[in-house]
Amino acid sequence: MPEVAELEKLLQKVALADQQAFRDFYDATAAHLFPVALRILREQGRAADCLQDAFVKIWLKAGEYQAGRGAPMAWAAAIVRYQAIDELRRLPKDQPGWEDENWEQWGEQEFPADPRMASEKQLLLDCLERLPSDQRQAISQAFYRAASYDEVARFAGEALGTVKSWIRRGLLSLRDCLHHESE
Amino acid sequence: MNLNKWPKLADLLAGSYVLGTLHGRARLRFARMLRSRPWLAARVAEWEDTLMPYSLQEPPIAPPRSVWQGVVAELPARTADAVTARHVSWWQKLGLWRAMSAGLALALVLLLLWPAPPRMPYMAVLNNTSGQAVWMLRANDHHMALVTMRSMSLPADKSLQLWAIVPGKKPISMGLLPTHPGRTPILVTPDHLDMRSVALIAVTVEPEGGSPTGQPTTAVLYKADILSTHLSS
Repeated sequence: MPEVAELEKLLQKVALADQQAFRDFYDATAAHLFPVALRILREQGRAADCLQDAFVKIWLKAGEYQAGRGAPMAWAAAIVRYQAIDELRRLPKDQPGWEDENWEQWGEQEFPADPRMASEKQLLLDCLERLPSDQRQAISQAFYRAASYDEVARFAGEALGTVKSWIRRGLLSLRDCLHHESE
Repeated sequence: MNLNKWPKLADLLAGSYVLGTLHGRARLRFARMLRSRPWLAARVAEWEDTLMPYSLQEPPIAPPRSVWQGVVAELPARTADAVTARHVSWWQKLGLWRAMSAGLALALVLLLLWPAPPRMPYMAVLNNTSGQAVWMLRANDHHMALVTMRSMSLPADKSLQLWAIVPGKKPISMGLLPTHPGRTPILVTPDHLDMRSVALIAVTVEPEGGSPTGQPTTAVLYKADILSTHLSS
């Protein structure tokens, strides 16, 4: 994963319309961000279009990144994720294939990340672990696939209302746990 | 709704937004709220910082080359002068000249000393109550930059918030004002805001992090006209 300080410096230059800095930012991050779009949209061409639109937004929004926030990759990944979610919602509902991958395995692979990200991730994993398994699975699925309530409900074979309340309660417990643990 | 009074709900919405389970109109509305409520944007940023590292853990995959080419082709020319002069009739010009203050004169000097691109043909200077220039805003249609010229002392639980006043509309938040001398980078204006339609900018004192309602909650502290530097055209 690229260096935080380096990326923050590049973003500050991008905010001043420095095209070379933008190219460097792209080179450092695109290969990490592409899988974010790919996993949600599940198709190379769509994911490539999504990444393209997301980078145009990164160019426009670079000035909004709060220097010192310490997580330029998280910021950029969120932009890609929102773009992918917007595009996913425009697709026909019954896209094949999203059930067949084993989404429960995610989070178990280990890749070198910067230490700050690694500790955030560990904290989240610990807090997720403490949730009841139905809440945990529903949240994981919603996050991993950017699945809608409908889709999570279909997958779990549960009523929509049940799944909604799992996710809401899960998010609130997660929030309490994260705040508690990071103090 | 005054979300600030419901921190749990605000956090839940922020979490659902990042998770993606906030849908359709609710999602659009929430995204709009984020732009005028810095404190809510901060909650979203927290969720992003927590959840996003999780989505970045897969092996890197290089995107097709066409992506970069597409990005470059689509880059809005931020440095180009895409601004067409506002139509200002001669009598309006007279009015503007008469309204020119010492603050504006100072600002014009600063403008002349400014590094060239990008073109920012609109400007405004906010003076404190003793008539000293504190902030200078420069803008083009959709971008703005702010220079803070002197420190402002402010209680720790308060923020100064900048508003754009568009005739016939509710004030639109342009964000929180810095209180120490310095320059912001070039910022994108809130994206529903076209600077050409802004008549005035105004400052109010708000709770720390900005107005909880998205609208000013106190009386205007300072205000300034937006002037176009295209006067001679």
